[in-house]
This record gives sequence, C-alpha cells and structure tokens, in this order.
Amino acid sequence: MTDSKASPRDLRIGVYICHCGGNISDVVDCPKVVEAAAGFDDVVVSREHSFMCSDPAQEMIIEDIRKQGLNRVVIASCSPSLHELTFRRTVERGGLNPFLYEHANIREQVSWVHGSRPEEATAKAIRLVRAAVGKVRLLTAEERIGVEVLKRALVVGGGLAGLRAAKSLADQGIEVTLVEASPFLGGHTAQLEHLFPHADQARELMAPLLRGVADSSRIEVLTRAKVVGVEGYFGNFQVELEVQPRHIRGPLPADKLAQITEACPKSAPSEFDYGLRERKAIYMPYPGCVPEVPAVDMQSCSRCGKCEEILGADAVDFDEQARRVKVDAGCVLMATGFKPYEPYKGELGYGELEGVVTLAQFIRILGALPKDAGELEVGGRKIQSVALIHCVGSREIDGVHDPSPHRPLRTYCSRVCCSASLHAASEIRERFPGVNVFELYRDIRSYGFYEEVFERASRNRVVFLKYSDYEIPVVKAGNGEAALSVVVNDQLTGGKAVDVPVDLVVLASAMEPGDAGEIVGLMKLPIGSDGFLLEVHPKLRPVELAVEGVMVAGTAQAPMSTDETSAAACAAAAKAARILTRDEIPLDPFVARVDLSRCQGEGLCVAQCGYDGALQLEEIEQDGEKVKRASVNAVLCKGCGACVAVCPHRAIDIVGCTLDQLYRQVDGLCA
Amino acid sequence: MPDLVPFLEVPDLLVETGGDGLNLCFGCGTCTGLCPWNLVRSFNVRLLIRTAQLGLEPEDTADVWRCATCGYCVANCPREVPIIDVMRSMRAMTGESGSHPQTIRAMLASQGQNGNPWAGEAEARNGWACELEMPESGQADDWMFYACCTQCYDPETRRSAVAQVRVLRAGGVKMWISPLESVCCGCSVRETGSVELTERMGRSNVDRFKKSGARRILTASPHCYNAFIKDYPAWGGEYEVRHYTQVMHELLQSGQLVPKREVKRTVTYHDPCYLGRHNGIYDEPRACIRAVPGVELVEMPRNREESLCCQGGGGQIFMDAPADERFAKLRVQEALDAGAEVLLTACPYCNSMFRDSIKILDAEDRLKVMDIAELVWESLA
Repeated sequence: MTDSKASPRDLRIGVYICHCGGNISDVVDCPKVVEAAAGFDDVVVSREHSFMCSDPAQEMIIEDIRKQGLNRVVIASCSPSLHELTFRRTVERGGLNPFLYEHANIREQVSWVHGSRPEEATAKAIRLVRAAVGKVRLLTAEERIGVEVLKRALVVGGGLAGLRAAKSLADQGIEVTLVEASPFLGGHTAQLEHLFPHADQARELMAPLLRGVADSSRIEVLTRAKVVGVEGYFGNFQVELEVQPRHIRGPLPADKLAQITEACPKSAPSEFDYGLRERKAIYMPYPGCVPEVPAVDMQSCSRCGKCEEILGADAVDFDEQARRVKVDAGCVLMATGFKPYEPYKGELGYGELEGVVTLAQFIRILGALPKDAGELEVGGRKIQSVALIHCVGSREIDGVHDPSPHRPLRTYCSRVCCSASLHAASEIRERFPGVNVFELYRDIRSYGFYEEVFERASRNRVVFLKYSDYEIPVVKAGNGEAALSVVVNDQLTGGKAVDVPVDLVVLASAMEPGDAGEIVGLMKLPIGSDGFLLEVHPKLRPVELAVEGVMVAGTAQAPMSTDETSAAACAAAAKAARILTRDEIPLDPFVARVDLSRCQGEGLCVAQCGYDGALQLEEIEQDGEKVKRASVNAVLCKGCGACVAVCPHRAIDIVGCTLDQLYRQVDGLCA
Repeated sequence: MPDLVPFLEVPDLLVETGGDGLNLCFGCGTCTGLCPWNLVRSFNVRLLIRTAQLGLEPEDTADVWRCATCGYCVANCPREVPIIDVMRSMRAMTGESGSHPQTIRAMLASQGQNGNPWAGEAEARNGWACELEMPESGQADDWMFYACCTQCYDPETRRSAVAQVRVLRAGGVKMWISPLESVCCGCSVRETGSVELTERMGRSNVDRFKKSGARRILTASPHCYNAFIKDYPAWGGEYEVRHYTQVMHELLQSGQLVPKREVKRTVTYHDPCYLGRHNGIYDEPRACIRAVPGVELVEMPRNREESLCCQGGGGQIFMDAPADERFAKLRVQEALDAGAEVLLTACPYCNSMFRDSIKILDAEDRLKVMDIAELVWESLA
C-alpha cells in the first residue's frame, strides 16, 4: 500500500456525507456538514451524495482517492453494521488500505432520533464527523488476520435439518461428522405421516435423504453421541464426543430382527409413538430406519440373553462401554431441533380424560390405522367427532395461562400447528367423511402458501370455532352421547358458550426448544428469551450464531415447518461451505496488540481477559534474557478492551481503537 | 342460559340442498356491513350464516325470510360464500315445517293455483296485451315475448310491458306473446325455498314453450331472464334469452330505432339487482337512455355494482315491509337528491316498489317512475 507510511504531516482526508435519500437530509442540513468538514485539518475533499452506498457514489470516492491522492476516508451515513464493510471495500478498490477508513453514524444516532430538532441534529452530525476525522488521522494500515480452516463440519443433530445440512455439505465435497443423541436418525420428521401442504409421506421423503447420509463416504454418523468438550476457535475446533454403546453389531437380516423382537421379554413406552404403545428393550422404531441396527435400551433390558441366543455372542455385547471420540472441525452446525410440548396433567383434560391426545400422538394414531380403515378408531373406541384445539402451550398470556408450577410462559407462536391441525382435519374428513371435525382456534395462521391448507379444510366442511385470547376452552367428560365435551365461548357466535360433544380431543401443542446439550454452555452459544438458539441478525446474518464458525439449522432456531427446516439447513450448509472451502479465513484485525517495549509481564491483563486462551503470558527472549510477556491469540481475542483498561504501562491496545485514537475522537466530540 | 350445542345435521342438509360453500365463511361480517337491511333495521347476515354452520336456531326466525337476494354481499364476499343459496336452503328447510310467513304462504298458494304470485286469474294473464294484437305463434327465428306476472296483473306496471312491445316492434322485432297457459317463471318461488313447486312450474313452462315453438325468448323482467338462463336448462329448456334492454340497445345501435322527439327531462337510472349484479348488464340500459334526445342522465351515488336494492327480490315484494323499513324509500330519496324528475328502471318489481315509496314520501309531483321503454317510446311516438 502506497499510503501505509503516511504520517500526520502529509494527511489527505476525504469526507463524504450521505443523505440516505432523505432519511438523513430531511433532518440534517447536509451542505452545512459538508462545509464544516471541509474546514477540518487536512480535509482535502468534502462531498455529499443522496446515496453514498450507490455505485456512482462509490465510483466518486474511488476517483477521489486516485486523483486527489486521499489517504484517509471518513463516511458519515447509516449504522456501520449496515455499510461499514461496503465502504471499506470501496476504499480498498481505490487502492487504499481498508482500515484507513472511519465511519460516522448520522442516521440512527442523529436524524432518526432528533427529527424534531434539526438545528441541533446538524450540530451533532458535525461533531460526530469531527470526531471521526480526529480518529482517522491516527489510523494505521492493517492486514486482516488469517485463520487456517479445518475442512470438516460437525453437525449436531440427526433430524431433518442435520441430515439435510450434512448431505448438502458432503455433496460439496466437505467431510462431515454427524452426531445424533438418540439411537436413530430422522428426528421428529420421521414420526410424522402426511406432511402439509401436499400430503407427502414423511418417511418416504426422508428415505433417500437417510440413505444418502448413511451411504456417503464423506459423512461419519455417530448415534447415541453427544458433545462433551469443545476447544479451539473459528475454523479450528477440537470437539470431544461421548458415544454410548449400541450393544448390538449389525446389520441384521430381517428375519433375525423379527425373532429377537419377538423373543425379548422386556418392554418400555415407545418414543417413536409418543408413549402410545410399547416397544421391546431391543428395538428399531420403524422398518427402514437408519442405522439399520437395533438398539438396546439397557434401562429396561434384563440381560436375559434371548437375543444373544438368536444372534450369536459376536453380535451382542452387553458390556460394551461408552467411548470418547475427538473430532477436529472448522465449523459447527447446530441442528438440535425442537421438542413437542407435552401438556401438563389436567391441561385441557390431558392425562386425565380418556380421548385427549396431542397432535403428535394423533398423527401416530392416524399412521397406525390400516390404509383402508373404514372407521376412525382410537383405543378401541369408534370416533364420530373430533375437536382440534389450537395454540396449546403457544402464544401464552400472563394472567391467562398459569406459568407456575408447570413451566415458564411460552409467548411465541409455534407456527406449524395451525397448518398441521388443518391438514389433519382434512385428512379425517377425507378418509372418514362421517366424522365431524371442529377446529377451536384463536387465529388461523396458515401463513403464505399454506393458505391452501385452510382452504381445503374449509371445503372439507371442518367447523371452526374461535376462542378469545382470554377464554381458554374447557374440556370435560361428556354427558351420555359423546365421551367428551368441549365448551368454548365462540367469538363467531357472539361469544356465546357452545358445547361441542366429541369423542376425541386433539391438542395442537407447541414446539419447544430441543435439548441442545452441553455444547451450548461449552461454546457459550446465545439462547433467546424463548429458549431457542439465537441467530445474529435475521436479515444481515441469517442462520449464523454470534460465536463465529457456528451455524444454526432448522427448529433449533425457531418453530419451522419441514419445508422451512430444509431451506434453513441448506442455508446453514451454504454458510458453512463458504468457510470450509477456503484454506484461510480473513478476520478483521480489531484485536488486542501488545507493545513489547512497554510490557512488563505482570499479567494483569491476562487475569482480566474473559475469553479463554485469547491472552496469556508467554516466555520470550528479550535482550538476551528470558522474560514473560503478554501474548494475544488473534483468533480468540474479541477486542473487548478489558486488558487495555487494566494495563499500568499502556502496553496493550486494541487495533483500530487505540487509546490515542479514542482521545482524538473525544477531542473531536468536545471541541 | 344453557350452552348451545351444534347440530350438524342441519348444515349437512343445507349443503345438500344447494348451500355448498356454507363452511367457507370465516365470519368477517362484510355481508352484514353491506346488507341494505342495516340501513333500515338490524339484520346480522353473518350471524345467520354462523347459526347455519352450527345448525343452531336463529335468534329471530323472521331473519330467515329477510334476504332480498340482491347479491351485494355475495359480490363482495372475500370467501365467495354463496350466501343467497344458503338463505334459500334455510328457507326450504324452514318452509318444510310449514312455517312460512303468512304473505309468502299466500303467494305460494297463488303460484300453485293460478300460476302467478298475485292471485290473478290464469285466463287473464295476457289481458295486458289486448290493445297490441300480438300473434300467438310465429316463425322459428321470431322472439317469444314473456311479460312478468307483475306486469300482467298490476294495472300500473302493465304500461311498461305495452311500451316494451311497442318500442321493439317499431324497431322491426318480430314476436309473439307467450302462451296463455304459461305460468310465472318461478323466481319468487325459488327464492323463497319451494324447490319442488319451482321445478313443477318450470317444467310446465318448458312444455308450453315447446308447444308454442319458442327458441328465442325476450323477457321484460330481469328475474325471468335470470330464471330462464340459469334454471331452465336443467329441465330441458334451452333458449336464446334476452332482456328487452339488450335488444333495444342493438336496435338503437344499428339505427333500426331512431328516437327523434326531444324529451327534456332529468332522469336517473336504477340498476335492478338481477340485471346488474346478477347478470352484469349495466351499459345497455344506460346507452338506451342516452339515445333519447334532450334527456339528461344523472347518476345516483350508489350505481352499477353498488346499486341499492329496491327490496323487491327474494319474495320481499310480497312481504309488505313497514313503511320505515323500505329500501325503495331510501332509493327514491336518492333519486330526488340527485335532482332527477324521472326514476328509470328496467324491472317490474323495482317499478312497483318505487311507485309505492313515492306515494309514501308524497313525492308524486316531484318524481315519476318509468320503465326505460316508456321513455324511449315517448321519443318515438
């Protein structure tokens, strides 16, 4: 860079004031700011433009750098989170080091907040520009920090999102380790049947994906595994996994599988069927699941050895122990999914009245019925009418829903339950036309293209009853004709109490955040107030977590439909691939830098540092003596500045934000 | 109050009898907001549809008989609920238990007995045309002119039929009068839910029309026009059907009719629901009016698709609403406010309803009701 040695003596600063199409200029007197800036020391160019981020404006800046020999640039516009990077690139294209640039925010910090006081706003804008000009004088040319990338992704979670992301990465030539906590892949999607809106069979859709993952030479699948340790940083994570034993070596021929399942004397409630049925201690949830090796649930197993008799001693090992596995990965994708909310005992009759089930359970019930079943039968009872109740555990309101002792309030909308309920309602009406279906809803939120699901339910003559946010329906035992009775103050009938006699009540229960495991604490992953993983910014940095190199895919982030989950997983995979296909990742250089000529190795900074491994004392040789001096790991350092504050010798500073630069900035503000 | 219990056999039956689409309603209330009844008294259309969805008893059974089938709600329903069809099915269901309003029962009795709703003698049906000497048959390409029962039996409205025939003849249209044995087109029977009687009368007409050799039918009333087009094909009655304003418009366009005499009057035109909203005919009647020299056509604020119903349809003409519950009274006032001296229409029901309301408003010296044909004839004669 030609300008890197520019001393304060031969500074040539360009200042650019953006109107933001009126967002700024409607309040701030931009020409006045331009005029003021022109008067600051060493400012040789001062201009304005209606949109500084536009191509013509950027070209103007580049031309100024080249023709006017600018060696510092200040742009006063919107928030730096929007366009600082844009302008750094502009400056770089003009041949200047991109870190000889300073940004002043005169939109969010001025025009948007002082709209009623234009004169004072203009004065504030001038101050902010003066501060930026003061700081830019002392900026130095810097190089981005290069991080070497380990070319493997760790995908945590083997549901739809994890599978889709893993497959997508493997298809791009990237090695993947896929970690699943349960013994089988497929997650909750494998437990679904006909997916809205087009009634595709969930497991048929999943089959090629499962097969693709299982057969991929680039994907290592670890089931019954969880993350127990994480070290390292962006591009270079060392992850430790604990893998619980399966106790069975497979694959097994189909007849053997049938035999052991038959022979096993112990059983437990089936996770796959949400406890509606029992499964054996040695089990596979459904035919064709992956891995195609049964798992043994040692909590219910009695070690009777019947399976061993059938399979032979080589295939069964009751004493197999958990093992630890280390994985080096450049990126981590969190696909830890959701948990279907199970209503508390007594919530809308759940757990107390026969015939009250969750939608997830009802889908299993529908799935277990023979295709040509002429009647809807549940638990041996013939069902003639069904009520589906929306918003169970979602959109809860303080004072209406009781947060204690059951759980904290869940105020968010679970998004898929409306469409899923409507879809189930249509399925009932289409398969069993004699069954009356009632939907008790607060608002129908079958958003976007799912409108057709609502439309179809309406055409199938599903009867809708609307309950208000403040009056939850009551489910009670029926009196005579029907097993149950649902009383709802129907907003569509003037709020009058309507008593709907039904044989079955289906609760469209919420999607809760899944258990993401220890990795959340280990990596300090941000969790939102609703308990889901929190992405950095839905528009600017979707599917990225604030911890660099960690992406979130699917319902670990928020309630999503299977379509949305697939899209989110592909987005996360694309973001990961962007990192993993490079040899090195450039990071901004805004981290701590030690001035070895001043450092005395007292280590006050190290004690203050909040980021493990970012700052430590290292033994070096100085003037022929072995001394301890502070040393920064530029990748782990977040540039927070805690070290700067405690150093008694002013031996440490944050690049791009040194104390001297800050003083100049303050001088500019106070002048 | 005991809780309401849904009884879905009711909506099942309503759907079976033509109210399919009942369940599309999501209760927005656009219908109630638009229904002209709410200009004169409360009528909660949405709630009535809601009670139908759940099979509940309506709060006021009289509500079942209120709809004038004007179609303003249907045209604006965001869910395309066939509200009129649902109303009709509800009437059919209520009627089956014999609980028609007295006036409707009388009308239906007359329809069954005399073939017209006005208790007129069947033999007197074609009496309106005695001075016109219309033939009773014609060539295959000639038109059969089918007058509305109201024109046949209401002495004041019959003038419009005479004018229609005169104007069409002046334009060279060859036509014969519908057979004396014809009966009412059945619209009011249908709209009040008597499905069987509607079909019996319809089939009887199809028979008579066939014997008289009719292939092309000219109607005086938009209601007959609507019935012939939409109901009769199901009973084997396939015709080329025109409302007289359509043919009159063609004659004026082609120059076969040239109104010459200046008629210096400010007029306004009321779109009949069954011509406008139900069948999309808005321009032809206006073109006919504009063809008359000297006439100034002013529009009322509610016109074309937003026309205010006269309350004659759906059997309402027979219900004799109290004076302060008449839409026609509002409409007459609108015509007066628009500065019109003549309130023109192209439907015998509207014609009759407006005459009554002008009397109620004591406005006979300020506003006159005329059929478009009467205006055109004034300019031709």
